[in-house]
Amino acid sequence: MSSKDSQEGKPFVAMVDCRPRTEDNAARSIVPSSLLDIKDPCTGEKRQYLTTKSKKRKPSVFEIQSLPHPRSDDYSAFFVQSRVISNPHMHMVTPVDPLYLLLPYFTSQEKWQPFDQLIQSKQIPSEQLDCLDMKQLKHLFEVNDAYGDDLILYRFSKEKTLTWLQKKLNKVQEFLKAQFLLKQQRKAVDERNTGGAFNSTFNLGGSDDIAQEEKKECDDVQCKIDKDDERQIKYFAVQILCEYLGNFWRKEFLKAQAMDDSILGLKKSTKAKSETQSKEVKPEVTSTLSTSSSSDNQLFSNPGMSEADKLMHYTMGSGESNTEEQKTKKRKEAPKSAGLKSLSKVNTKGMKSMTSFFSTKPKAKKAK
Amino acid sequence: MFEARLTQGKIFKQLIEALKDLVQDANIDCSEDELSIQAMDSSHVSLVQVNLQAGGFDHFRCDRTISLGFNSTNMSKILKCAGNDDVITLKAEDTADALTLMFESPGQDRIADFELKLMDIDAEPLGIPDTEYQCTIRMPSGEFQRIIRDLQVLGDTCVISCTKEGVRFSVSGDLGTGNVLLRNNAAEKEEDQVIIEMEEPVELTFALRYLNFFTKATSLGGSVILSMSPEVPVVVEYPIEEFGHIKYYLAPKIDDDA
Repeated sequence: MSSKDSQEGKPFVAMVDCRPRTEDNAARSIVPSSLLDIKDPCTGEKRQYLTTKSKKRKPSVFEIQSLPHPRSDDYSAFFVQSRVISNPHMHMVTPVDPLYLLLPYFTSQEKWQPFDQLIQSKQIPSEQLDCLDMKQLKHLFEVNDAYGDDLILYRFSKEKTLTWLQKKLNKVQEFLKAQFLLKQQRKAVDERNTGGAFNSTFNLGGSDDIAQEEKKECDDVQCKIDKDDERQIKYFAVQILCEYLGNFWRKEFLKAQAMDDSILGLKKSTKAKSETQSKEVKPEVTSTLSTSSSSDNQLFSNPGMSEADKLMHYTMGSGESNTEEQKTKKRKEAPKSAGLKSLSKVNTKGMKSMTSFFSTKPKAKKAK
Repeated sequence: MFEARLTQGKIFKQLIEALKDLVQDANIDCSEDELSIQAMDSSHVSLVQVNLQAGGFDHFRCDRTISLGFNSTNMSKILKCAGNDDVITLKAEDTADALTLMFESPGQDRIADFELKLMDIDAEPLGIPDTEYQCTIRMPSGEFQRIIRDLQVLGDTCVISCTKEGVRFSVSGDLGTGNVLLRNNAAEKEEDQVIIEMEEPVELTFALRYLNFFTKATSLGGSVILSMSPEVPVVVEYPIEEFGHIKYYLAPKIDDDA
């Protein structure tokens, strides 16, 4: 987790999904990062992305998602080392494949041209291209080096793009399947070793040793994915991928998958929901994925939350019983007659205080 | 050690009743020869001062001066348990945090004792000098109570003006105006007399609600003495037999903009 300052200067707290990418492992120092305005591949509107620049490794783009505080939008802050950051939103930073960000600019096959000319004609911001690895371009473009290394020509290819998207889809599916299996296995192990207090979706990100150990433990438990589950997983993978595609590409992609738009409107099954949650707290394997922003809130609409809420309210001193107790205590402290209460309402304007007439003397001689 | 036995327990009962609507907390200051209370209301525009001489008690013992801080509402609740004819005895140790109140029925066949928790009240008493007032009006306490009660129907403030003619209580409010004029009256009974002593005419304005709470002391004595001078607090004094008094001081309303 790290805190960063946005362009407006308002600090915010972000949970970085993929630690090795933002931290230089050898130096253990945080790689310098900055915020960029890039067109959202789905909506086409500009939004902020985080980019990192490092000499040692290739730059990457991160998607920022803001998670509202589950209880209060107004009164929350984070403590980061010795700083207090009073921004109620927690931000999730997840890596995103920069190729997705290029998709809104291309739709159909065009003529061969040099890359520089290509981006000029499409008015693609140069900062966005800085994050791009030139080797990646072969996924979307046909490359022609017939004129030698000095003049490499590119031509956007729809077929290549769809093939690339299919590869992505397969990766997502693989990941979801692995997760599903792991969950099933854990469930089985949990049932065998009663008393486990871990949530089945709990995972210590990045620690391979533990994962290996767990895998060993789970290995003897055989779990299978039935056809129904497999279909659900595929639907969910397509849904995830479509969140990174604009209208045009979504239609093309769905056509290639032999699906229609209705799948996106499908209410996600509970199975899919739990998958979403697990993905939110896990580092991503495929590196290109992120969860849908619409499913963010599901993390907090947990039925178990209400109990935790009550407890929190109680410990924070805003419980009902507490205030009542305080009230009676107050009442006990200062009993007042009805007369005293009515007297406090008298308009004393123009009446001077007694102390302005009589001075405080320790021993006054009483009249008469 | 403080101990005071009052045969006419009713007096102490009435005193506290006469205080409780005006002050929330007060100190009973006990010395070798008297028991006194001085306290202001929460707005500090009025002051009540009680004095009972040691001679008025059947038995009065106070080894060293002591301040007993009490809540008037709580004290009043306990005194409600005392009968009007009961003998009331007050007792407190020098370092006590409670005041013992003992109620004995006239036939000595019923003895009740209560303990009232005391509190520390950090209030320095105000020094009230003996002053000559321009006007002094002595009148039956019942009459004063009636005038105040009647005028309260019409408004919140009343003007008390003392002239050669007599003393005039005037009120003006939304539904109309009212005046009550009292003239000198040398009745046979001392309690019925209205005696006005005046050097210069005085006219002052007061909040009726405060005056109304002062009249809670009416039962303590047959007469009331009002003392007034321009621009200083009025004194409403109820003498308690021959051995004490309860005095109320109230700041006049001075309207700069009226």
